[in-house]
Amino acid sequence: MLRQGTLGLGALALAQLLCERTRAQSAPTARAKRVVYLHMAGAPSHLDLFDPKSALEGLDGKPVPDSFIQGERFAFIKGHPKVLASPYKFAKHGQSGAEFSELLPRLSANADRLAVVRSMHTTEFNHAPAQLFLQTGHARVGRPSFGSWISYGLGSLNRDLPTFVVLTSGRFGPDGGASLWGPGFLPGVHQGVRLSSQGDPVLYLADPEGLDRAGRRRTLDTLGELNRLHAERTGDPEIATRIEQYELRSSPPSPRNPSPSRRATRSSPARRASATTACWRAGCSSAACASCSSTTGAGTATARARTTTS
Amino acid sequence: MQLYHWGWDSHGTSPDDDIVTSLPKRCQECDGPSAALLEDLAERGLLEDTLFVWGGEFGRTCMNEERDGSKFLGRDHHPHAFTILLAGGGLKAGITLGATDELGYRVVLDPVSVHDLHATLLALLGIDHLRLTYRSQGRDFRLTDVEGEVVAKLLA
Repeated sequence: MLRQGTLGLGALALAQLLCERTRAQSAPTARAKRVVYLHMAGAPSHLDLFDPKSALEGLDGKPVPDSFIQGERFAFIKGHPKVLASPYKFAKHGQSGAEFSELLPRLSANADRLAVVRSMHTTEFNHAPAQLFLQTGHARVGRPSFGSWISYGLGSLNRDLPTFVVLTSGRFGPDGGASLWGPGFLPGVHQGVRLSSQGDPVLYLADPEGLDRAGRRRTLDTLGELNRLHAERTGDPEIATRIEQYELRSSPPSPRNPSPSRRATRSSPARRASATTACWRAGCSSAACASCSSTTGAGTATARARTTTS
Repeated sequence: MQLYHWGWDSHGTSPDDDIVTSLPKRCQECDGPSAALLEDLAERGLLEDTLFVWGGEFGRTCMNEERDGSKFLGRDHHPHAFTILLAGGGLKAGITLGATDELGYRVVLDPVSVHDLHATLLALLGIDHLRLTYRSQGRDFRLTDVEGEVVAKLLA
């Protein structure tokens, strides 16, 4: 499965902290480098998959006790609803004895790898706000997504692939839309890149007919030069994002075989600058942290990148 | 990396969204691939430094929705309690955290809010959720806003 999904999974390149000091502060728990978040949009029933309740069987078809629903509002239920027991059988699995319903035999075989959190709760009872809350920490649009915060906080050492990628499957995308992986007020470079499951995984990566790689490189270099001049004049961080996007587009993702020369010469000043911003924002002192002290050298890094990529 | 899989909204208005016909289909679509991902990550030693999260945005009611007298069985949206699965780097494995009341309606033990989940996942990535901030429109923002506590019981 990993082999088939190499493109997507290879892109899980939330490589390593650019700011060692940030990591050191919370070192006892710093164990993970990347996140795979499988969001079951629409919200699976905990009562039919993970949280068996024998009391529901005795009450099945009877009105739910008043005490539970007093003052409650529901998305669709009207009147006084009746209890619905789960039609599915549950069993304990693994050494841990975690309970799963018969609907998830393969996941339940992994019970001893899992932490089952039965005590999640939220404040939102409709899909879009609840998804936004879960993915951005806020129930309305405009805040940076979880993945964008991680991109901002961790950065990436991989120059050829986006730091944060998104896939959607099934008949429709999630109700919360692209805001679920949007950068909010963070620099746009941290937004999730949605990969397409048909055709090119990322649009416009392939060279147009009649234009060879060298020609395209020259075009992008000239465009990059103009964008950098514009960025220096206006100081608009979104221009850095745009430069970064063009550079990503000029290097089709080949996670199995990233070109060593490209890895060595691409320096992604926009991404590095934003990552080091995360560092000093978090309170690092420039004397103690190499990443912090390089923040002010972002302009130098840009110049260096220009020299080495030409 | 995130993947959104559509179709878990089991209201019971038709066989396309009930818990008898539709829910097993969604489970069948996701169970094998999700488990294979976990197993492959573990086999390659990658689960040690990868966080795996599986779950929706809320739970479902313990009551039948019966929208407009529908005969199909289904459950409405339910914010007060739901389950998510976590695995990977720095998390305890093989545990069940928290509990709901006798009808699965409200959390009665070890509640975990969305902000708590975020604080915990960030901690596992080596990030202090109180210090990961960005200044916008005159104030510093956090993913966890003014809330969130790392759930110590989840940490290995």
